Amino acid sequence: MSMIENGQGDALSYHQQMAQRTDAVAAVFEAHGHDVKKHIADFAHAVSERWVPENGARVVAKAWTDPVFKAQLLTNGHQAVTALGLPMPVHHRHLVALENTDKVHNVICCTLCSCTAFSIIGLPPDWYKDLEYRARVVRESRTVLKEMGLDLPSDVEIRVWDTTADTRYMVIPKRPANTAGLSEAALAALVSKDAMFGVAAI
Amino acid sequence: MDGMHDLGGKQGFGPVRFVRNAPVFHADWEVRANAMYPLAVSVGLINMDEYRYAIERMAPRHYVAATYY
Repeated sequence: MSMIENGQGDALSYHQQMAQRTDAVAAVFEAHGHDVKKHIADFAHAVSERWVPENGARVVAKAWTDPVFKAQLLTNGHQAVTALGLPMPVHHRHLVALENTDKVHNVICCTLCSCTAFSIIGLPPDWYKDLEYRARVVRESRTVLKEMGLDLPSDVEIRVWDTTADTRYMVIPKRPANTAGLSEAALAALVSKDAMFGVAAI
Repeated sequence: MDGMHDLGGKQGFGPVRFVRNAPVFHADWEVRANAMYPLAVSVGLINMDEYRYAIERMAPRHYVAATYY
């Protein structure tokens, strides 16, 4: 049962109960001498300040404006983004950048769970981890994308990429028309997290 | 293992609940829970394979009824 299907009262008691269980696990870590409060604070900081989709937006804008960087990104994504000073956990061994064109649209998923290049495009949103998306996007991607608001022309091929623990993906959306004069920073501001997952256009 | 977690292509599911720029977390405890499994890995209580295997051993009824965190 997803939270959205719960009644208000059920959702409240569910969250209260889960908060209690989580606190109980934290208490065990503390009892064993681990500084769990600091670890949680560090994690929360990374989520809000370091592993943000602005990283990926910067990568996309640079790929749009710098052909040498774009070639590097398409060849070895991990190397290209870490050279920009962006973080990637060691176990995210490969970053594959997928370029959308007039004829090809890429969309990412993790059918087994939730793997994402989260330090570059942000932590996966709720829908990405839901059973509905994981089950359906690989079988009926065009329908799912249309339901999500992205109605692609029938002559556009859709490629679906199923993430694994050591190979992570990001979509390079098509650069919007009439953006020729914009700076890299202004272009980056146009790039949405949803577009880098491949479920929205820009 | 071809368990319930292996959802790719399973049929019968309804619409994806989607809003643009959707949230990652819906409550503070989810942040704490998400922080603590890497802590368990980093202090050597479990490794990532054990973590995955534990998820994959969830009973099917439990797996489909459970929320992510």
